[in-house]
Amino acid sequence: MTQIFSSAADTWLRLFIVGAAALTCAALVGVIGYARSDYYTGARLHPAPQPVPFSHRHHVAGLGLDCRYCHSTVEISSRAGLPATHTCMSCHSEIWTGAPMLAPVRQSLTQHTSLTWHRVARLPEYVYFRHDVHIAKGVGCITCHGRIDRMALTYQAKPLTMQFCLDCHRNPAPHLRPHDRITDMEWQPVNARALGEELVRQNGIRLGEITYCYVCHR
Amino acid sequence: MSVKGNDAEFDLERIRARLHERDKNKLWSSLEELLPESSFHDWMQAEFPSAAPLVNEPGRREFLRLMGASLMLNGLSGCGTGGSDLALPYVNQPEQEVIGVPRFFATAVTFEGYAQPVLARTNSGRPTKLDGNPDHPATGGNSDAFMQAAVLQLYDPGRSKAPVRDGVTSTWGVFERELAALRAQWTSMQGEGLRILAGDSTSPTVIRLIRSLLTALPKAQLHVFDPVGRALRRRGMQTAFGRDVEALNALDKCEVIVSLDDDLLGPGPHQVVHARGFAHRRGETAPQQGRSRLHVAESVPSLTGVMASTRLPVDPSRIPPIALAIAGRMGAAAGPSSNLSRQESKWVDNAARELQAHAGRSLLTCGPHLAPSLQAVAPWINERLGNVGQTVTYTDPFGLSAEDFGTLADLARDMAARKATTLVILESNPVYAAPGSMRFAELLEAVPTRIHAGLYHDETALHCHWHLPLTHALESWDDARAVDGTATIIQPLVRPLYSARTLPQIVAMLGGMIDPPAEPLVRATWTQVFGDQFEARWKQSLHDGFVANSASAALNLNANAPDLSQLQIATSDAIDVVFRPDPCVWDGRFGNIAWLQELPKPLTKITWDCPVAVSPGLADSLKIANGDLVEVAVDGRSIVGPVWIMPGQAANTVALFLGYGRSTGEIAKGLGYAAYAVRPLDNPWIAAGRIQRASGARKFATSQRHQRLEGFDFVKEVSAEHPTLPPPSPEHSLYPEWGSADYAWGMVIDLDRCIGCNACVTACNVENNVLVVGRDQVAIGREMLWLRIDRYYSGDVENPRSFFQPVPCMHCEKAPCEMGCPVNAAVHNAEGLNQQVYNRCIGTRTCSSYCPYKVRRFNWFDYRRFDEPSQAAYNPDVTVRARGVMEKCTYCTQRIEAAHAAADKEGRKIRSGEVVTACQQACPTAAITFGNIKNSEEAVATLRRSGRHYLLLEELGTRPRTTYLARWNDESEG
Repeated sequence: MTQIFSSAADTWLRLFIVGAAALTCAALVGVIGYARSDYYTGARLHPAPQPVPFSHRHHVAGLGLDCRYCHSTVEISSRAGLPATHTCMSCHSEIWTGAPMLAPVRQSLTQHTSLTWHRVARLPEYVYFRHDVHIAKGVGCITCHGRIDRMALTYQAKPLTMQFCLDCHRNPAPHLRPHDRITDMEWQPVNARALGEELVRQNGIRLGEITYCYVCHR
Repeated sequence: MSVKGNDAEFDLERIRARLHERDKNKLWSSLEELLPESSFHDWMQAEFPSAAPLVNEPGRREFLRLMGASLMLNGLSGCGTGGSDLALPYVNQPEQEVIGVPRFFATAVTFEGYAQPVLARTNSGRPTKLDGNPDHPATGGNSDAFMQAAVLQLYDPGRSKAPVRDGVTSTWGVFERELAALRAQWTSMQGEGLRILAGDSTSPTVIRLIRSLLTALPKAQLHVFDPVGRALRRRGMQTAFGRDVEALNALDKCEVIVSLDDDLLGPGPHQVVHARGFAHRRGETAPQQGRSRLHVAESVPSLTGVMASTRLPVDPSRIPPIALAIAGRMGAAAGPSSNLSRQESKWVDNAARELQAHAGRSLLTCGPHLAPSLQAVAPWINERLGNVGQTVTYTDPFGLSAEDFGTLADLARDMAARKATTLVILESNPVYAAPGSMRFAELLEAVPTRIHAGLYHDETALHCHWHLPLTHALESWDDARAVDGTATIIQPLVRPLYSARTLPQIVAMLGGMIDPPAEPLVRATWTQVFGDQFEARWKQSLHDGFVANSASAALNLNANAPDLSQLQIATSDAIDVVFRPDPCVWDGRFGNIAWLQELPKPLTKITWDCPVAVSPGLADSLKIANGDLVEVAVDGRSIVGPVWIMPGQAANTVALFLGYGRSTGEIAKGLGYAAYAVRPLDNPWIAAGRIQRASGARKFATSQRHQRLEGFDFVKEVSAEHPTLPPPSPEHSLYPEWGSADYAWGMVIDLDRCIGCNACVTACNVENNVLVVGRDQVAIGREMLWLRIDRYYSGDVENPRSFFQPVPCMHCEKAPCEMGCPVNAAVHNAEGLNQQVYNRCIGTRTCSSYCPYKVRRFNWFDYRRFDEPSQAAYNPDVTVRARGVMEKCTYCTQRIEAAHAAADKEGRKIRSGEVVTACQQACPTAAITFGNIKNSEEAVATLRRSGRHYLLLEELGTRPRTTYLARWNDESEG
């Protein structure tokens, strides 16, 4: 009776098992790597298409506008708020009145239809983020939005994943700043650790309680 | 003999025997469970009753195939791109509007013509939640299920959206041109032939406009028709006082209340005020220390009967002799004699004695559906007892006065005589709701011009030339009066979603105004009242939600002695057929609100249907079981409906419920039977009829046997002899201790105050985006209500004691559900909340099978609705759960987190009473208390130290944070 399996069959089987295991591992590494990469989180990728090529660099670094001039509800609401067309036109009815770049803004005003922006910093819909509390507790704009003053076109600077949030919720001290520096893009702490711990105390941050699920999910 | 229906069995003799051999205080919740071989027990023993149909129907192989496929697809259902990434800022941001911060406005919605004052929450300009206006003198911030659900009616996709002429969409311009021609005719004939049919209204603006219309066209005639309404009450008051008056009961001042078939605490416009007053003398107020006693004689079990100290089930034909006997004790001239049974005379003796013993602090009430001559007994007795001005006050009626209008029967007569040439029907649906023998639709077809205005393109609209869409109260400028007469100016919270007009606008159009704007009509009414302080008082009234000091002044009247010889005491062998409004859809007007359809009816727990309620004795003699179809015949007309055996119903009484059998409305149509078909013309509430078995059966979607607990003593009672329960004993536990924070949230539910009204359940649905699953899903136990109200009975089936027990999540300190979850989606937090994380949940349902309280709900399908305008009703602060995740009561964690955020921003602690859960806020009897149990000063902590405090299923050692206060049993005390 002839042999069913050749003498090399064992080797093939071993190779197959090792190969399959290696492939599975590689796939896992790939998937996890992708999920953590900028491709998935959207950080630092190309800016979203917008109706008007609005430049934060020009308005913040160039003209020195405060963030809260346009994002006016950031201290009182969960949402920072996008400026109404009227806010844009409070300046642009005086300057660059005929710029073709601003045609959609003028059109929004005359036709009474909203400008349609694309969100840049998006959180999943099951996350209930509040701007007001973060600012009250001393988290600066730069912490989540990056060097917005250097962005000609706005893009998402940080991954905004749950890991990103939890890093700070578990240990907020290094990320805190004094109240008068919240919107400051250039500020650097002198003694970060001491200042952070002082701010945690001053602002009454409920250490250990802000990592529970219901704080952000409900 | 045992009778087996499709779903149930019934054998009165064996049920009696079984109840006899058990401890008489032991609770039971349905008749089926008292029979050992019934399908009820199969249901109880099934591991996953709600999954059983999956396994049984397609067969085992099919099941495995489906399981395999769904396992493979499972991972994919978690994928998705999420919502839209578009952001649309305002062009011109309204002043004070901050996106992300809700705003509150005081206004009112209307019910039966009365205002229900509300404080409405709007998110980004859309109303999302209504609650009572806390500053209102009559309702004080409490609400009922109808008010809570009104916001869903605003967003009902079934509302009519544009004027319709002969079934074709038209415009207001076309209507106004046709109306101008009609008006020329009316003016030339002084309104001859013009008939207006409307529901009762308390709106000063509507009344003003109608009166001026009738003055200009003196031969026109107004008719008022409400399927429920206060027509008989009005006639009762006319009998008693010679004129119509409104009576307002102050139950908070009553030591003794005697109700003759009057459902004081049941659904209706007075429910909130009555429940609020009643609760004043319940709960921690012990018997003989100011606690009120309530004696009820009634035919159909009601919420009032459930709360009664003593309850006497009597057929409606026995109410007159009982009223006579009580009147006799109070010194009335003797009427026709009749013999009371031993039980009846014992009840009457007791009631009369207590009424007299507490003269001036007692109250006797007669149901608004009793004969007028009978209703007239109550004012006279209350006057004799010195209760007038104390526990009951009379005021001028603030609706249309009776001299202004005719009835529906008058209209039908005129229509038959061809005297009506134009009929305008305002916010009324007579084709559906008129008594069947009137043949209203046929009469209507004979009227040359027919105009209908309403929220829906309903049965009546189908028979009219013109249908005009009305705005919802939340889109309207209008006004109305609450039950105490306090007026509210109704302001719009949102611009009309459709091309609709307010009721005052339409009346003004009939009066000759051309496209009148809504606000000036209301302003004009109040200009006369406010005089030269107009602007200030107008603004103040809009801000407060009511016009200060506008309640009616009490009248000083003398009631006529009742003419008892007028009372007829029926001695017929026929069955008493009584009609009752449905507790969830009322007279049918709320039929299209899915939340109310899915709300289990307080006593039967039936959803999406209405039963023919019969007594156990009658069911036994007819050999029928729950769900069997019966035919009920009155005056040669009959309806067929499924039967429900109601423990505690009077022996010879059959109850039919109004509000079902609709033929229009996406949600309402095709459900239940139309009781209006057999409603008699002369007396709309009681008739003599016959009942017989019809072939077939219909399975009810009742939640009665869903989410059952295993254990004993779910509802505990205390009495004057044993006023305290043993305190909960500390149990040792192997489970880990959790971290602790400054707050430990807890809830205490007072069973002595809960009247089972469903306001909390509806409020929870609205606040937490609880989804509607539909009749078929409810029938297999998949309803999503986070808060259910269990109803238990104890004692015999003829007159059991009944109990309500609201059961939300217990937020156990040692929670079994948390141990079961393989992905850590059920976790504990430092403040004691039992968190359910939707984005982690993979839907194994293990937590639910571990939960001894059965409070977890699973999304078997995607029940969400993202169409316009339905999606606007969702609360933006709560996730709308998708398919495949488990959910449950969160103690309104979004409100806790909002309080945290507010406190954190201001650098302070959360104040006592700052967090109010939706159920607590809605409860008209303040039966639900919520707060931080660590702060011994808070109400919730005080109640946890009460002698009546107990834990549900304490023996399991779960240490629930939701706990209960036992009910007082004061049956025997005098």
